[in-house]
Amino acid sequence: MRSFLTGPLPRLLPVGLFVVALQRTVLTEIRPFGVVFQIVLALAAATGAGTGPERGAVAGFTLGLMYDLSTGTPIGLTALVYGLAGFVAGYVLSLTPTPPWWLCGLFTALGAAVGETFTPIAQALIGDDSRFDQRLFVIVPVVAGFAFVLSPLFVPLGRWCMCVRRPKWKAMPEGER
Amino acid sequence: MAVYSIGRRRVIALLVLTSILLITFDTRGSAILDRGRSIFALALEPFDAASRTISRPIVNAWNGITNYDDLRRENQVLQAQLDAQQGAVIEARAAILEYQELLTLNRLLGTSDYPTVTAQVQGTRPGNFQYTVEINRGSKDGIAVGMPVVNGRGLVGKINTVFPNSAIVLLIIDPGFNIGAKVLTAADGTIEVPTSTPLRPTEQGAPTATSTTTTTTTIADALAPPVGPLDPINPATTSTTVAPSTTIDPTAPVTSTGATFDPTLSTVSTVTTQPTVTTTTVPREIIRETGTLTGQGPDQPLILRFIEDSSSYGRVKVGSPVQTAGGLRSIAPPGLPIGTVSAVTPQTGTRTLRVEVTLGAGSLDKLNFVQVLRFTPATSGS
Repeated sequence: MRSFLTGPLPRLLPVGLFVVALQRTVLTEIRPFGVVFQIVLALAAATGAGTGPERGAVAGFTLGLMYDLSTGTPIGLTALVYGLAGFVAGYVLSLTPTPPWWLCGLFTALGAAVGETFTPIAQALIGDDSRFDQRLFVIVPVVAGFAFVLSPLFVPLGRWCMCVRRPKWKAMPEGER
Repeated sequence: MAVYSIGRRRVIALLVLTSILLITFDTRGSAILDRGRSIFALALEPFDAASRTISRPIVNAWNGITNYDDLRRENQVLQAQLDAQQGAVIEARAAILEYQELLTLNRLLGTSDYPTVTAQVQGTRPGNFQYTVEINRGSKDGIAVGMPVVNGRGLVGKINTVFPNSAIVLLIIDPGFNIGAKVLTAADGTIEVPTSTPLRPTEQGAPTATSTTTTTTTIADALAPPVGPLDPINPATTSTTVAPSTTIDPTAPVTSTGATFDPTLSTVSTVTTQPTVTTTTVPREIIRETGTLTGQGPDQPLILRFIEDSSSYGRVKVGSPVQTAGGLRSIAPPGLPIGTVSAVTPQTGTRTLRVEVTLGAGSLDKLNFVQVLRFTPATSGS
């Protein structure tokens, strides 16, 4: 019980609920170029960029599941896609354990782009009619750009949700050198 | 650290398998998952309400900055259209009443025989690949999956997911939306059908009246675009014309033209009819073609497939109205207006035509109030 309460779920669930509510209310009205910003996807990718591939995949899976439950898409579909987005974004930590903010932003955008591109692919895999059209070339950059803009806020939020602290460099004591 | 450690592989495998399992159960229908959806929707309601309250000034400011000019232009156009429609509304009301009366007389069900639930759109699509809106009525109001949704101008979609207090409508423009539809086209040419027979001819030699009045009744514009979900057939119009008269004097002497005089032909027999011959002009035939209507996304016309090129009887024409076909497996009753044919293209190698349909319901981005027909289909459709 204690491990559950100190784990990531009690933090991720309410944050996820609020972000999903924002997705369904505010962002459906604000549509530049006819594209809906994907704030849940941005959070999933940013969490991956801040915490690594595994935790990013878990966070993306959870957030995607909440999205599926609230929007009527097949349960598990968005969870799979957002898990993939978090996983891809988490690879920034394989380059450096303390990436700068702009590198986190780039990988967050990359994760969001991968997630948004794989959404129609996943829908096609489960038998939904193909939704590939030229709009994809507008949708993916806009969604990725939005994720990049939000990454300075969402990467620390993602770390907090997953109970991960940013590693700090510490000088080695003289005797151990 | 290895890129793919054992722990990482386990996490990936677990998540992928769990996703696939959930997708499989959900697409096949699972009461547990449906119940979970309902519970989650209830848990999300306070967050939805809070975010709507917080976001309203932001959304209003955004719309004011970006959409003001478009809105003003649209308002002017709509005002002009409204003025033009005022007269048509009065005529349409009378026609709807007559239509209802005809249905009742013939014991037929019309679209107005199904109870409806009026709902307000409270949210549009949250994603970029599915075209849905959310309405503020749910299972507590008697709404079920598969019920058709209409606005004042025609079919807009069907109920896709139902929560206790809300529901999600899959719009007709979504590529995943399919419905059986029919298109009615008048074949070329008309025929005159007598609606009353002339009286017995008079005997020869008797003086008769010679003027003839012809009354022509035309079923005009039977295929005009509908004025609402309960689109009626426009009533027959009647016109009366006076045909030129011909006088034959039975007592006039017969003029010989050089033939042998035949005393038996000394009088001329004439046959005249009594006046008021009534005829009705109708289209030679009304062609009814049935196919499957599919959406193609926003700003794209709907596509009506499996329409055959019946050139021997007449082809589907641009401007023909398209309605729901109904049927045992349909998700909607017959007769709901969908739109009008905007293009007909033959396809090579097949007799089927590619028929494009312009949606009659207008811009689905600006839906506000809709009606859910509590018509329970035999299937939830596709």
